[in-house]
Amino acid sequence: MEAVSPREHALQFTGEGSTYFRIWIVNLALTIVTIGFYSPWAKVRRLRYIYGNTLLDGSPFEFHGNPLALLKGRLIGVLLLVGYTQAAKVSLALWLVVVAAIAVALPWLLWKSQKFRLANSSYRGIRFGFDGTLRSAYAVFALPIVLFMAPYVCLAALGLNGAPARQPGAAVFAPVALLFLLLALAYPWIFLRVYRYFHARARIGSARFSFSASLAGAYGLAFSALGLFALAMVLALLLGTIAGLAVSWIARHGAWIWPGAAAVDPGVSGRADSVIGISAGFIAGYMVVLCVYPIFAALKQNFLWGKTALDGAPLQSRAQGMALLRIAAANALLMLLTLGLYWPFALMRSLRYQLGVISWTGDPERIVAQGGDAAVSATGEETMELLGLDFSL
Amino acid sequence: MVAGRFFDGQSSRARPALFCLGTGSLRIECDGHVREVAVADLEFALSRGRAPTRISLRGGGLCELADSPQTHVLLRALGARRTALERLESHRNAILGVLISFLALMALIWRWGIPLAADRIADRVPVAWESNLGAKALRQLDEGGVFRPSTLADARQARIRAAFARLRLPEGSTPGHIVFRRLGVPNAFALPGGTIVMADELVALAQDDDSALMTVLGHELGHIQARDGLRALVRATLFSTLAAWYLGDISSFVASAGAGITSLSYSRAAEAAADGYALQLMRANAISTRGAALLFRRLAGATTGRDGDQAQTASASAIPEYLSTHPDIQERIRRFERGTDASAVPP
Repeated sequence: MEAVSPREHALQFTGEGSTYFRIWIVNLALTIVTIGFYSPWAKVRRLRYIYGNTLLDGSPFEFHGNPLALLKGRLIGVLLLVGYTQAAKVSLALWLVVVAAIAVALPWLLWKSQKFRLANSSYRGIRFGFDGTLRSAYAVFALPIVLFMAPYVCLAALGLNGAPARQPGAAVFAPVALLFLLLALAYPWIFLRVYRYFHARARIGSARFSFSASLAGAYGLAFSALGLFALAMVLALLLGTIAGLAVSWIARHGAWIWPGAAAVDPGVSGRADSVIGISAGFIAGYMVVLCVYPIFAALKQNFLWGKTALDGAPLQSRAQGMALLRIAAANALLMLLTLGLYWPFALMRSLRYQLGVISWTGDPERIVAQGGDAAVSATGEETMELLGLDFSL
Repeated sequence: MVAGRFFDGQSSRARPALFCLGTGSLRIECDGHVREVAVADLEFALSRGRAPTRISLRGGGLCELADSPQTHVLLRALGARRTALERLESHRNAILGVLISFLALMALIWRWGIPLAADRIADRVPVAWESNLGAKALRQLDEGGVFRPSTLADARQARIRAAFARLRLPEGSTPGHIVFRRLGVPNAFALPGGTIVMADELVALAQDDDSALMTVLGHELGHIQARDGLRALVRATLFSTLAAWYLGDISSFVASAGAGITSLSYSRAAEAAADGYALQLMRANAISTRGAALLFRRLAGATTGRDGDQAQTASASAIPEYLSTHPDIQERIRRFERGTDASAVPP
């Protein structure tokens, strides 16, 4: 038999804003009418549509999650959230107990969440799976969780117990600052560790995913994020100043440009125009800083998926920051103009791009099922979403 | 007969297949074999766009059918039906109806539902909770540097406190407790639980007229009796919860729920009620409210540099906080000048 050169199969996203809008608005209406209890069903409908319109070699992925299972997880999540927010009001000790309980439960929740999500996904009738063990979840997440929680616990302990220090000295805040610095320095390591855990233990049938990103790569990504941010800050400062000066000048002299300026009573304020100017400067600057996010999202996506392989064949992700930025900017503008009603169109548009740039050089014909893929409970999945941790793309 | 692809559930290899209706079953012709699967063992995932329709077989196996008129005929014959919601979603007018009802419902909840629910919830909050909340807010504002320690002379503070203590309140009223702070603007407000924050700047603006300050304190006491602070806080929490849900980010709700206590504003009705309370209280204590009217005039005038009558024409952003929630400032001033509570007089 001749050797077939590996062909690249790009993901294709066929979701349409006009169709998704219908699903979304009905979901919203039902969720609000049922004061939130419909939301697990809404989520399943949303995921089924998105999975069902993500195609590899012409075949869609499928989501099989059971809404009732999600509802249970969501209730547990609400309980945790309420416990977390209310405990702080009672006493520091109780809050610490709740935080400790969450810290202990977190690896289990993350593990369950990933297991549920993958066990309920399929491609060509073959289920995904997640082979991480609970023990490995604790081994992987213990240190990251401690690093994450330490500065906050320290901060809470300083702020909540006893007399408020009017001018807290550097001596008090030094340990907190140090812990935050440590967290920042360790962040790329944590990021890599978490994604390696999730990606490298996933599989479709018996075809395994692997994850080859290096620590150097993760720190490289972090530094490009920092660089981007620094660049954006400089630009923001520059643009913000220019915009601020221009607007305050118009507010002062520019009745002929902008009739509204006349309404700013010169007697009221030598201040009003400078307030307007400073606000305009801030808004302009803030918008420049916002531009960093889509550019970074592209870098991150390329890093994560570009270093992932399935069945020994690499995945590629070729997202371009500027393209994603253009999409995000247009989406943001249209969402502002429509009070958020554009959201389903925006989501479809960014998914079309973000999924469309991912491809795989493997053979979609030779994935084989693995026996014993059983259903798992959804507890982890929903809880994680409530706590704001979602590790899927 | 519809052409499509068949997957056996064991491998992802696509096999070209022909599908047609059997007797109460789906006939699948694939690789020279024919199998029939009873309709009861089929599960449909109907396409709503360009993706293929899927039919899963119980016990493994998946059929992919491209969208075509023949496919539709076959699916209908097999009894594949869209869910009620999917059918609803395929009607343009129904979606328009859902959209309009949703927007109307949101507006209704925003305008009436949340204020009503907030009032009901606030009524059930224990007083101890409320005072705890107010104390915490004051501490946060102090520590956050929003408030600076008062530089008012002790004697002046004591005089105001004494005059306030002499006020006779109606039976069963919640007493107030004054704290003085430098706020940077002439202002006074009630925190949940009965603490009244009085700005040095407002005391200075009142010059030596304690009666004006008593009226202001009476107004704040009115807010305290009605628990307006707690109401506004509950309301803001509900608003931000709803907004967070709509924006799809439940996690941000935790961050925003506790914040913003100083930016709360009461409704015009609540302000008018507090004014009414102050007027009645002053009358019961035989204190003139003309001083307060003068103080409000000065407050309005301080911002325009002119007579208070033109306060309404001034740029809204320049009006100090104490007045900014009162677009009808002139009406309020007149009410205090009359010194009688017009709204309390029976027609």
